[in-house]
Amino acid sequence: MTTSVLIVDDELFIVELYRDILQLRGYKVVGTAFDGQEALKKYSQSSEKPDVVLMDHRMPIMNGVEATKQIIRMNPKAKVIFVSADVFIEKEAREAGAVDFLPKPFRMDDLIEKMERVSAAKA
Amino acid sequence: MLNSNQAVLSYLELIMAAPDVTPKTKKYAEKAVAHVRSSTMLVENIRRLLAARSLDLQSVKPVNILDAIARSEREVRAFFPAKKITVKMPSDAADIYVAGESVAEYLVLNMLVTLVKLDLEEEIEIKVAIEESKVAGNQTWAIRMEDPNSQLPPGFNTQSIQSDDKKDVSVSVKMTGLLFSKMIADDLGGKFEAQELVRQGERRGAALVVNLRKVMPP
Repeated sequence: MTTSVLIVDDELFIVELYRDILQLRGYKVVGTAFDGQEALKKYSQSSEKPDVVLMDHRMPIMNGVEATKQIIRMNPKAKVIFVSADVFIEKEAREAGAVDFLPKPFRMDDLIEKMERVSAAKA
Repeated sequence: MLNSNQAVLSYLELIMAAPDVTPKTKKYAEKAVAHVRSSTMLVENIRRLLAARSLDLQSVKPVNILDAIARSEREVRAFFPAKKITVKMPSDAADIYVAGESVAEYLVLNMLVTLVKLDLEEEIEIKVAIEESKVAGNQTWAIRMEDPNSQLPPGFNTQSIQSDDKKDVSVSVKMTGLLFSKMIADDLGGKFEAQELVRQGERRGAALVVNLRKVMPP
């Protein structure tokens, strides 16, 4: 079964980049959000919850840690992969409920490896 | 800047992975990857330095430096996909712990990257040696990385990487890796040195040596 992904990042070109990479590797991008609050809205309104949420940290309105906490509160089984250039936020992200952390800049294979691991855990 | 670098890096990876890419185009893309990563590392160095400065040296966590070098070796290969890089570890080394958490690991990565950047060959072999040593009365591990083809910048000497904040030191791009290594080693309570290797009057590569405080395994 195809793994579905919600992409959360305030930079449009980064959202496009994730989409290009993930679609090329067979993942289904079911939504995009440009801040934490929009991510919560899209997550809560989706009838079929995305298998994975790719979450940035520094975003306007609501940051990634706060959005992760609220998504986990909504669905304790949600799989959030945190992606940030700020490596010092990893501990906080994991405490918020992120299942994995990917520091930027990452290699494409690193992203896919983490996606595969989380998808396998889902199955 | 990091997001822009991320995008450039990833699209270069997509180009390199494309089935119809020519070997020449792939080679150019591989070289571009190294430059993007260098640019990213300049930014990252500043952040790591700030992190090192906020560490409490008395309670800093230990890191297994052999594991850190092994992870850094994988990282440096990804950094320079156009080069064939081998890091030869000491065969008799057991677990070796130093104080420095992830900052110490980033320091050894920075040393490897610096040596590779100073080596124009396509095949690179870096030899690592580790021995106990005392610095200012403290027990340390001296980690030495030697590359027979690395060339330190012309006119370089150890004095020019003294991190004296009062000096107005103009630092060339080639020197930033050395300067960063020196500053971070100082902040971890250690010592850093870059040595030009000379045999029979000829330059025979370079060695970077860092002394980091020896600690007990966790």
